[in-house]
Amino acid sequence: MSFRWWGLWKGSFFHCAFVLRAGLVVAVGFMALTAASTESDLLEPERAFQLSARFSDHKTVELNYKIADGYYLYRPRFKFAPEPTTSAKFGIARFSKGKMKQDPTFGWVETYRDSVSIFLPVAMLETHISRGQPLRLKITSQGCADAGICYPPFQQVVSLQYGSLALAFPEPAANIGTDRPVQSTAPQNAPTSSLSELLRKPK
Amino acid sequence: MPKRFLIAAIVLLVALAGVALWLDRSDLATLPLAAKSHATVAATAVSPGALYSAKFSDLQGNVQGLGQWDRKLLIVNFWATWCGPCKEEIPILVKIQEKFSGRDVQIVGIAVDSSLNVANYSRSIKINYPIFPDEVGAIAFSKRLGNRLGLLPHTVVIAPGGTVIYNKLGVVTEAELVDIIAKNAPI
Repeated sequence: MSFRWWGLWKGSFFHCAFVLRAGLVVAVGFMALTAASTESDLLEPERAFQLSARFSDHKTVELNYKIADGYYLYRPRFKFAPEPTTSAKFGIARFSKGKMKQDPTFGWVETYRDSVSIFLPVAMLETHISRGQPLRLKITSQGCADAGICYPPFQQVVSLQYGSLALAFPEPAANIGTDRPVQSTAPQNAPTSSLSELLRKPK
Repeated sequence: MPKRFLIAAIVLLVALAGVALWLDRSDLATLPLAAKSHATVAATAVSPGALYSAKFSDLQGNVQGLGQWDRKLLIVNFWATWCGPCKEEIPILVKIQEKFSGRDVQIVGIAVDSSLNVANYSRSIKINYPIFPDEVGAIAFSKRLGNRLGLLPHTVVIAPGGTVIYNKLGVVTEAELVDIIAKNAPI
């Protein structure tokens, strides 16, 4: 090896520290590039907060959310409503345990990551049951992503078939006579808790 | 053969150092953490005419069009009182509006929220720029500007004449806005 090439090699060797630093900067730059997201990286609300629903018993709807990593839901932002509004009555929802968070908007607030289960007491209008119509439940939820971005209130409607065992309540007095005859669908051995009791107490 | 290997190694080292220096200059390594976590929004195809013809009602119920600020650097911030990150950046926007009141810079806040919520909140922190509460129209307008999912906060900077020069989801920093204003709204 000639002296000239040895000198170059020696120079490169002594600049090893610079090369290492350069390599580090490359790595940091690459990490920064991958950390910066684009709008298309953010999940659609349906995918960030995946909902499934079912009747867990004759008077309770169970809602389960699978929450994507890096996303969370606010407990106070949940709302539940039947569609049409007169078709069902809901009691006080019971939520699985979440995590308290100090939030600039809501103060100390319960939030959910990974998953949340909600148990919603439900009584159905008798005529709705006798017509074989499903329970249509409108759920409003709202959450954010750790990236510092929030989703607007998000509404989903689920249709649930409940069979003939659902807890029922009669047609309001003002409507009696305008619908076809009501056929009671409450099972003989159904629990005897009244609707008012159901709607007062969480399950 | 060793000479060829040596030349290849040197070329590789020089190339690596060149890439490193380029990245070093590109500010990527010095961006604050908050800026790194933002999401960029795809370029919008909204024409200046469509931007400036947008109209919203203010807190007093007066309809105002964005076109009145067509000769200013217009910073449009979409927010809501239920959005925590939005509340983090509003003091920054208030400060920017105050700091650059002598320049042709105008901030407007379009809220995805009710008038009542917005009025209460804007009173509590003394927002010094026009606020337009519009629960339905705000999201639609934000989506037209490229915010596909209607996420908040969303900030768009429109140069005089109607060209969108900045479009970001997530909290803006004071440094980012100062830099944009310095480049686009000279004294």
